[in-house]
Amino acid sequence: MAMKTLTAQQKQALTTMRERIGGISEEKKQHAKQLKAARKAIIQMLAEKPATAPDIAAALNMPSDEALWHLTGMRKYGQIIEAGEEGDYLLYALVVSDQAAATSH
Amino acid sequence: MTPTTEQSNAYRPDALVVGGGIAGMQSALDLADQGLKVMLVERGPSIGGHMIALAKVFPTLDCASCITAPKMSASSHHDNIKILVNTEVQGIQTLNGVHHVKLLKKATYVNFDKCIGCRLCEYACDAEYPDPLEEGLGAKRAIGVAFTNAIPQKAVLDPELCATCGTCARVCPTDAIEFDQQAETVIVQTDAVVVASGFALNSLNVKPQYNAARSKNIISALTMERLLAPHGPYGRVLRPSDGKIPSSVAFVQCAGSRDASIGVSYCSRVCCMYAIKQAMLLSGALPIADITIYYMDIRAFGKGYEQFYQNAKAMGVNFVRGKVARIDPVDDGDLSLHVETTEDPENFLQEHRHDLVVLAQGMLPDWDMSGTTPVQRSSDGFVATPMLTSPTLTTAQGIFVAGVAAGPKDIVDTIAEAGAAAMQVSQYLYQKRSANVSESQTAVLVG
Repeated sequence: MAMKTLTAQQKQALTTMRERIGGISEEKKQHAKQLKAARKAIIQMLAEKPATAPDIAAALNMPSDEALWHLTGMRKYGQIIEAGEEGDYLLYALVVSDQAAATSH
Repeated sequence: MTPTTEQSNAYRPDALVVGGGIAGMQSALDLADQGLKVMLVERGPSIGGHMIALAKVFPTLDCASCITAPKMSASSHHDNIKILVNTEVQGIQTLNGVHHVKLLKKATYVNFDKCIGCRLCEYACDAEYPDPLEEGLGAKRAIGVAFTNAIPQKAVLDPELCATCGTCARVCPTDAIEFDQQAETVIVQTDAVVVASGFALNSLNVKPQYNAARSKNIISALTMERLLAPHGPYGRVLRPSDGKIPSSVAFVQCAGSRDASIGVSYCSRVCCMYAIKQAMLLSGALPIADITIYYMDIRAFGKGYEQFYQNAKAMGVNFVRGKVARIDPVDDGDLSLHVETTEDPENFLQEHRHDLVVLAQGMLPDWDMSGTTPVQRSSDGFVATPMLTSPTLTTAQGIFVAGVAAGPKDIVDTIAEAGAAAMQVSQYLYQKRSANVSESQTAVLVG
């Protein structure tokens, strides 16, 4: 994805917006940090073999609903796909393609 | 606090429609087809309302988006309809028969004239949060197009979620991102208003004995619609707590209406039918699952509805007449339902275990306009319609109502009523303008 440099006017507007919304809250920073760490860990786990939401939850020590939410977001943005079923649960696998590279963060 | 600028709008529509759901779109289209200029005002980032999020409709099992999307498209392409999204109606003041509607156009931080809906900003954004349009089950990013078939296909930035990293502006091919955009307050003058502000559901926690706060597997009917929709968060029906494919699903009827103890004593009129519809769709999606509907009585009053109910029974959906008194989360995310049934006098207190429970919440009005508009509400909170024979007339002259804003009703009745509201508006405008012409002619003659 081609990245441009922000103009001075855009940088100023961004600063104004940041001030207007009262800066970046501690909660937002924590959320961003946890999201990044969780996604990285899930990608590493799925790179080895497909897994279910409870597998991921157990391995990463997070609630199952949270693991499922991460998988849902990653599926929406093209990073993972369904890869069959294991018992009553779906298996998810990593997408390795140009599309995933383009849409991953 | 976000600053706003205030100005008067030069565009003067013949009618302004509040709400871009199915009722609002139908009224707007019917008025626009008669040559009247319409402004369609929607609070959210897309028109389509609740209906665009549904899986299918009863009793025909037609795809809901196949009905809604063409109306969304027709509304957006109609020469006589101007659509404002991300805009709230803050009040209506009537002076000399002209309605002055105060609108708050929220900042989207995206120039809609430049945005081409490519979603590159959304793909590049790192800030991801639960998506309210997916009932929290799916994910959305701080900037993006609301949903795949949203109209308009324009990105909107949510400042509450934005990390202000500027990545969206760096990848936008048309330089559409405007971080310094401000909200605007606009006064629009119009001769007629149609209130089609729709409904909200009461909280899942309105009855604490159902313990919805303690389990992710007690969900709303709208969440089940998203699970059943092919474009839903999981792409199939899974249990929100852990992604399990459910094997036993329960529907608890009258879980938020017909109950004076929670202040909603009226019937929400659609819950029986959508529960039956969802049960039938689940039978297809989960062929080996047990599906049970716990009900007080089945209200299948429309054309073809009773047959629909009988078809569900024939398909194996289990109907249990009684009232669910309590729901307890048990092990493995399952739920234990304590039910008092009327079917077996020897064993009327029963306990059943399910792994997913859908509560039929009550329908509530979605816009509290009291104090800000001349429209009066009835005791249940919906728009008062004093004339039984004209259900789209409100207590204020020149302000009409359509759809669930006037009280719970199904999609068929909503669309019919929206058409009726449009006809009432055109008749009102004709009479008003004929009277004005007649007065001016008299003035000319009298000299």
